[in-house]
Amino acid sequence: MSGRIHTGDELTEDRVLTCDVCIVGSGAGGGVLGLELARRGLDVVMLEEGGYHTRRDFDGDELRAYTELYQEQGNRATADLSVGIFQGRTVGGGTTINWCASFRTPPEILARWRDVHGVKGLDTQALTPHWDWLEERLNIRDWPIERANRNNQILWEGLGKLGYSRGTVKRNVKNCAALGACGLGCPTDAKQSTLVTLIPEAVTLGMRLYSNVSARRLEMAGPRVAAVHADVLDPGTDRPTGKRLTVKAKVTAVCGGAINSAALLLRSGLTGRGQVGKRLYLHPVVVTNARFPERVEAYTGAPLTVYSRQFIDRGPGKLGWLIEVPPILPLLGAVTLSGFGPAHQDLMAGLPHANAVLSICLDGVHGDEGGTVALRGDDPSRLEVNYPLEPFHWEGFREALKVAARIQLAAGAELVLSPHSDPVLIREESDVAKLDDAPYAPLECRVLSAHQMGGCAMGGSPDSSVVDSTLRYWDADNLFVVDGSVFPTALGVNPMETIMGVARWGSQHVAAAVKA
Amino acid sequence: MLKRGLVGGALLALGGSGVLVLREGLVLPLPEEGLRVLGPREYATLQAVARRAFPPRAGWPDADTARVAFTADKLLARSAPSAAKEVRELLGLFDNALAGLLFTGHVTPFSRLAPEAQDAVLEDWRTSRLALRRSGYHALRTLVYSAYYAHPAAVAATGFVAPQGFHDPNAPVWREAKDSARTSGTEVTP
Repeated sequence: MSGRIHTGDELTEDRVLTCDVCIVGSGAGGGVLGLELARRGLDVVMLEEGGYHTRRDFDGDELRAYTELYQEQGNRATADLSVGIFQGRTVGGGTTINWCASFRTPPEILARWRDVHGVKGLDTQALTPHWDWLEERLNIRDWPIERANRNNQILWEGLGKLGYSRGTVKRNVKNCAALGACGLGCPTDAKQSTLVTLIPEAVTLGMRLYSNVSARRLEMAGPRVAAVHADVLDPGTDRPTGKRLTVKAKVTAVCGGAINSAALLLRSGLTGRGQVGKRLYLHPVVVTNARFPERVEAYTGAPLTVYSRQFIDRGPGKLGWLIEVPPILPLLGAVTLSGFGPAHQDLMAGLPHANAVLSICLDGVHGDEGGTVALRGDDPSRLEVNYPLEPFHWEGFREALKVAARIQLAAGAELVLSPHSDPVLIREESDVAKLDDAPYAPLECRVLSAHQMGGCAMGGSPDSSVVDSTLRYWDADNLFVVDGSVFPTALGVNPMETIMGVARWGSQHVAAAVKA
Repeated sequence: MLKRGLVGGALLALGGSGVLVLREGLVLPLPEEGLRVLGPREYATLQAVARRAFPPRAGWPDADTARVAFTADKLLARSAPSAAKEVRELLGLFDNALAGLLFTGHVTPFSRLAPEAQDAVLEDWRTSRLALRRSGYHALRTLVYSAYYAHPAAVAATGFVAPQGFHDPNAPVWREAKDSARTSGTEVTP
C-alpha cells in the first residue's frame, strides 16, 4: 500500500477502505499520531474534513484564508455569539494557521491532572523525551527579543517598565521571513506545521490521507468501532457530493480537536455516560487595542514572540491569564475592533499605529465547569457550543483589561480602547478606573478564543471523564481520542506543543491496541 | 454565524405575517452576477446596513464600491445552508416594519429610513436589553465588516502593505513521495 494525499474531487464513487488505524483529523494530535503509527509499520488512513491547501494557496488574502482554512469560515462562535472561536479546518489543522507559539506544558497543570482528575502516567518526566524530539523535528527555537517586531517590543517594554515577568516565545519555524502571515498559512513553508513536516513523512511511510472527507458517524458493534462513515465534500463548495467513504479499521483514533471530536462521538451515540461534550475550555481572551504615536505595523514580523505569565495565578477562585500580542491584519482587526461607522473607520485608518494586547484566561482550574458541545436538533451537521460567562469570568476580564491598559500606557500608548461594544477610552492612568464602570455582559464586552481544549476529558474514572489514562474511550475497546479535547483543564499556555507531546506519548497505547 | 434562539424565538414570528410586514423596503439593482443566497430585499437591507458602516470617506471605497452585500452573499453561499437561512431571517426581521414599530416606534422599514434614523436603529439593536437582538447586531456587523475588508481598496486604505515576492501560485504540490516505499514491520518506539 503506497501513501498518498487524496482530495475530494478524486473521490467520484463510494469507497470502502480497510486499515489498521483510522485517524480522524490531521492537526497537532492527528499529525503526530499518524507519523508515529506509520513509523511502526502500521497501515494508517487519515480523514480530514478540510481541504488540502498548500503554500501555492497561501497568498495572503485574508478572506480566502478564513473561508478556506478555518472552522465555519472563521465565524465559529458560541450559540449566543458571545465568544468568537478561531479554529483550524485544513490539512494540518491548527498547526497550519496558528501563530507558531510553542510551550511545554506547565508542570503545575500536569500535577493538577494527576491530583484532581486522576490521570496516571502523564507527567513532565514522561513527556520530556517527546517534547525533545518534537523541538528538534519541528525546529522549535527561541525567537530572540532582538528579532521581535514592534508589536512585541511594545509588550516587552511595557512589562519591563511595570516590573512584570516576561519571556520570549519559542517558534516552530525554519528560515522564517517574518512576513506576519502565519494565520493565513505560510507561503514559504517556513512554518514547521504538520502540513509540511510530519504528514508528508507519514505519507512517505505509507499513510493514506483523504482531505475533504467529513467523518459523520462511528458505527459501533458492541464495545468496538466497526466502521467510520464519512461524507465526501466538494473542495469548491464544501458541500457533500453524495459520495461516501467508509473506513473499517482495527482501531479508530478521533483527533478532530476540541469541539469536533466531541461532536463526532455524540453523532455516534457515544455520550461517555454524559461526559462527552462537557468541560470545554476556551482560554477566553479579552483584547485591549492601543494607538501609538509611532508606526507599529503589527501586521508584519513574527506575530507572537513575547509573553508574560505574571498574572497566571491570582489565587484560589480568581481567573488568571497569560499575556501575549496578536498580529493585526486588516480584516481580523476590523471584526475584532469595536465601534461602527465613522468611529470604526477612524480606528482602521490608524491601523499602522495599532498595538493589541491579549489576556488569555486560564479556565478549568478553579472548579469552573467550562462550556459544552451539543448537536443541534434542527441540523445535526451543525454544533451548538455554549460557554456560560459567570461573574468569576467577568472579574478576571476586568482586571486583565486594567493590566493590559497599563502595560500599553507604560510603553507609550496615546490611547487604549477596551473591547466593549462602546469602548472605554483610556489616555492616562487615571482613566483606567473607568474600566470598573464599563458593562460586563455577553455581547457588551467582546470575548474571543483561539485555543480550544476539553470536551472529551481524560481522567481516572468513567463517571467523570471520557477517556482513560491511555486515551482510550472508557466504554470501547478500540476507540481513542488523541487531541486537545482530552485535556481535563486548560493550560495557561498556547496548546500546540502539549497536544503534540500527548499525542506522541499516547501513540504507544494506540499502537498496542492494534495488536490486542 | 447566527445560532438557534434568535431565529427560533418569538422575534422572528414577526417576520411572517402582518400588514406592516408588507411595507416595501429599499429596492436596489441586483448584481449582474446574480445572488446565490440572499433575496432582493435581503440584499438591499444588508447593503443599507453597509452604507451606514462605511459612509463616504476620502481615500476609502464606499459600501457600494466595495459591493459589500454581494461579497456577503458569496460568503453565505459557502456557509451551512441552515446558517445562511438564519441570516436571511435576521435580515427580514431587521427590515420588518412591525418589528420596527415594536422596538423603536417607527413603521418604515429600516432600509428606507433616513441615515440618522438607521443609525439609531443600529444603536438600538447594539444596546438592546435583549441578548438576542444584540447577537443579531453582531452577526450583521461581522458580516459587513468581513465583506468590506475583503476589498483590495479597503485594505489599501488602512495603510496595510502585503509582503510581495513570497507567494508562488505555481509552487509544486506534494502528494506522495515519488520513491515512497512502505516500511512494513518497522518498530520505532518513541
